[in-house]
Amino acid sequence: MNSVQQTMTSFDVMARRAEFPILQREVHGKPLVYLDNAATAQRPQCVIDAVENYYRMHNANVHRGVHTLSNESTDLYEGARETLRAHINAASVREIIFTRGTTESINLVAQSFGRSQIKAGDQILVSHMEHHSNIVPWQLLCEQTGAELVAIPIDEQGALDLAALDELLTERVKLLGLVHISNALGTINPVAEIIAKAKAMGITTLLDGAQALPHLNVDVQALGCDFYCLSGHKMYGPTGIGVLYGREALLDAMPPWQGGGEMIAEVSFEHTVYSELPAKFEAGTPNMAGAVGLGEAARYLQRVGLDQIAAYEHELLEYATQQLQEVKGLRIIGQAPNKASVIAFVIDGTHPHDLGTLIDLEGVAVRTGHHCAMPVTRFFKVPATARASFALYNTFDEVDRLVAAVHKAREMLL
Amino acid sequence: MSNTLYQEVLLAHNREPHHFGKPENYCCSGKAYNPNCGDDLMVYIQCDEPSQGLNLHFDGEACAVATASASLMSEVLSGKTKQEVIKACQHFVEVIENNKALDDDALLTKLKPLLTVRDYPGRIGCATLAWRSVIKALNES
Repeated sequence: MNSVQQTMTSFDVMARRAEFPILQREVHGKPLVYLDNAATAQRPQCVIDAVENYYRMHNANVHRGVHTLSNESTDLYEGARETLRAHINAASVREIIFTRGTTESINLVAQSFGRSQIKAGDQILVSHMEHHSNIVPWQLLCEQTGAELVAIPIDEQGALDLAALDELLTERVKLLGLVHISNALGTINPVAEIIAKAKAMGITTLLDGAQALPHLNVDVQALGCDFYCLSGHKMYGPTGIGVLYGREALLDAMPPWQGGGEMIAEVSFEHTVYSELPAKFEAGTPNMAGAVGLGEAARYLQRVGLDQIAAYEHELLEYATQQLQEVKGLRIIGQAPNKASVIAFVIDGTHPHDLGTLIDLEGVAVRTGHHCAMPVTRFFKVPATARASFALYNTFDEVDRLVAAVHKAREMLL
Repeated sequence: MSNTLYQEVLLAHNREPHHFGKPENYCCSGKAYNPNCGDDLMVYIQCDEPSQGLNLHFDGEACAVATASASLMSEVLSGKTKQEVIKACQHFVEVIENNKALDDDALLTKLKPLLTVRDYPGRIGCATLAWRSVIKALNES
């Protein structure tokens, strides 16, 4: 046992592992080491049970039903909304819109807020480390409106260039869209400080929180952002469900995005009256089971404690960083001072895809590629990276398995 | 699944690829680029002496599977006519993507080490990358 492991007495990782059934399986005859958590995390039994129990006992369409199951389903769906409200400390459930995930949340803001508020000549400011989902919706909006998309540069460590940001925050900027934690680099951006500057200039702010929710306590009121977007499956919840948080005054003023059932109060061929928030932005039968599962995932994170999770994951990050740096020719892409438990790397003379396949043959799952952030790989002049991303159930032994697999792959390829 | 993909033949072609480097003169070229993994090769086709067939070269940066495949391809196809090269490329893509049997051709048997890529669905595109670019380049030339 190494010294790092000895310090970890307060976080019972083995108890946590027992809660995730998939961690029992083997891959290529070896116990699975799942280090692709930034792509999607695994689900604990309580989330699987919540979804299953919903379908087994309560499934019915929500709202307007008079029968018992519809009432139960509505209570569970709206109960999940309240759970998510409390989880991110929104002021009201009217500010919690269920979406398919972060991507849909950002598209909703771009097409509803953006198309009604952003005009030709305006600027939309994002950063060089954004996921494509916080670039492309704005490019589409720019094509539609004549606005201009501008990117805040990053430095060699993979941190935002804050001096450049100050220069770029001008009266032309109407919206700032920023990733809270970078999926490709692990960088935790100083978002509260940046939002305060943007707000002082009257700029509307949106945060992409897909990677933040599994690692941090997020308080949207303390952050002061106008919009916050998150995905269920990154935070141990189901796929196909996420949240758009928006300040109520902004959401109230925005036009509907998609039309259909749920989002209307009254329809005739001459005129339609839209529903109040949050239903105004939830056209069609929602992902009820997904919302119930996401609510359970939020409760799970609260039970385990995000401060404890963050502290444990930070120790894993430090240990893995130190161990990987000992591999000859290995370069970590993204070494910002404030990082979440994500390590992207390349090894001289090898291609990340070969590393990914060979590491998988040792039972270790990492992701290789551009991680949907091609401007990042281009900035660091690498074709792709291999990325190990750690979750609350990963162990120091698993870091050792990763490092051994990396050594073995490197020796084979070189 | 055992590690049958990274056999020594393939690793050797990756470490020291054959027909590697941009020739001074060539008739046409094809870009072999996969943005998802960053594989980025260029295939160069020489056809100075039609009686002697085409001559294939390549350069660029890619994974071991794409590099070894491009290396084996250049070796196996050089000397063949344009029509033979197109036919062989189409055949190889079919073999890899649709699990067809490899033609019993003395030259093509050299490609056998690449066939195990069919057990690795995420890597099939690596094996066919250069071959597809040759088909495209010759059809457009």
